[in-house]
Amino acid sequence: MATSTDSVLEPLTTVSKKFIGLVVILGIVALVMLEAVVHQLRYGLVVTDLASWGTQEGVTWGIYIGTFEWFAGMAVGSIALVGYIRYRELTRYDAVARIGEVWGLISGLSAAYLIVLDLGRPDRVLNILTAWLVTVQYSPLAWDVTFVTALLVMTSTMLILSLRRDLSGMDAEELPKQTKLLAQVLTVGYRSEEDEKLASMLRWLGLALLILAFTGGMVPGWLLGVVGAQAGYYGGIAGVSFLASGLLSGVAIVALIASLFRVLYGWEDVLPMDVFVGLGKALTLFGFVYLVILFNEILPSLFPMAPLAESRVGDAMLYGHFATDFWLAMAAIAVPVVILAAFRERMLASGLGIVLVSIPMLWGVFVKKQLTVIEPLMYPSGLPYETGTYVPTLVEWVIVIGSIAVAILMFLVATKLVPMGRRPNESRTTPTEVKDQ
Amino acid sequence: MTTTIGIYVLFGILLLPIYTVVAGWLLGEPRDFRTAGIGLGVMAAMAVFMIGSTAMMGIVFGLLTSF
Repeated sequence: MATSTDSVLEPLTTVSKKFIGLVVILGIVALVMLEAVVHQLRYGLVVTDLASWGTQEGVTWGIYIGTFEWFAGMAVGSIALVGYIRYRELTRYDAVARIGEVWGLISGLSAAYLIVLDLGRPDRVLNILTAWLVTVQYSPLAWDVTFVTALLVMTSTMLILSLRRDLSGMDAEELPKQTKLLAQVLTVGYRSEEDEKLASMLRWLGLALLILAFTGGMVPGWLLGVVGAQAGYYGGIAGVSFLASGLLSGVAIVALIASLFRVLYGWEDVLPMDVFVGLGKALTLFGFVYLVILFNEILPSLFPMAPLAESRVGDAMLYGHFATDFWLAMAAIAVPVVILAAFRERMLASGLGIVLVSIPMLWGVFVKKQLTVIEPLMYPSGLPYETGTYVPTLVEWVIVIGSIAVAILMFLVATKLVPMGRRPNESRTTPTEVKDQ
Repeated sequence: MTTTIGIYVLFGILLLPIYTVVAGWLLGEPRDFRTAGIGLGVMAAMAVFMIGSTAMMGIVFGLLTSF
């Protein structure tokens, strides 16, 4: 097993056959996805099952937007976690913060290109940029573009500055060639006198990420919440609901990755068990809050005084065509929350316990995101149209599954380039952390 | 009315983190404008990179789109 001094560098220096096999498989999936993207660009959205409301009896947004909301949520949850760790200087969670920085960036990028692919003419993303000064005055889509850009800029800045601090403290000779090259770039002009200021700047940037997560992090929910003409979308709780789901899925994916690192690289010293107990507490809280919000979101549509269009959507969600998916998704979130609340310390002691609760939670949020976006659109409000239908085409499935594979592939590549934590002797327990314990 | 909401959302909510970073880095202790400048430079470079790469994506998509 690795010693405490070289364990942080071990993921950078070891390349197993299983790793190569996984990269090859994900690479093939990525190439198939690329072919599907080019196919859609050449022939247009006609290769999807998206169609207009009403006379075409379709839905205008499908699994691209549902998956966009899932990735954007994970990005929000990841930066909230990173922000809290950096702001409070919880050095025992350094590896968790680094995983969050990398995954937050990848999630943000994935969300960004998925929403562009959903445009009828994706090349018109240029119009979004050139018209931004006007559209930002009234359009939630322009606010969303602003938020996602801010998220990508601030998360990448956090990653670069935290790496500047960490890499400047490492012996360059111990680093593999690719990381050594990265270290030379990121530590250009580094002076030891800047350490204290850099620590302060990471704290401020952590606070800024927290603010971004809890304010701008509601914008993707507003995309639906402001659509007054669509039952099932409109309402004041959409932004908060998105934020809660994002916090849950963001913490779940970071905890899942951290747990895999601990098991694969024997990181008992880099990621001690109390870190997972902390993450387990966060998952319990965010899962519970999300379920409470969902209950509040759905209840009014089931009450006898609900407007007809709202009750149609509410009934469909609970008893309609997708009801099985809805209830399975709810169970996938609720059951792990109950298990974590009741047996947290005992189940996390196995090392893989957090994997067992995180995977269903991530799947549950993914399915709920799809239903939140798609199902209301099947019931146009106020007009005597038939119920719409939507069956994603092969192109849509390939692009969605491919986007997940590409995100994992990017993360795998990052693990061979970027140290996923600081060495234990570099992590000092701060006064804040002593107080917390 | 709706044309003014966006101004409040942009300057009152979406840009809050940017105000926090700029004020914290420049005014926070210890005062070190060189390191703060490096940080602001990184952030500005990332903003240019993100917006530039989005524009590039639009151009490439335009080349592939035949209609």
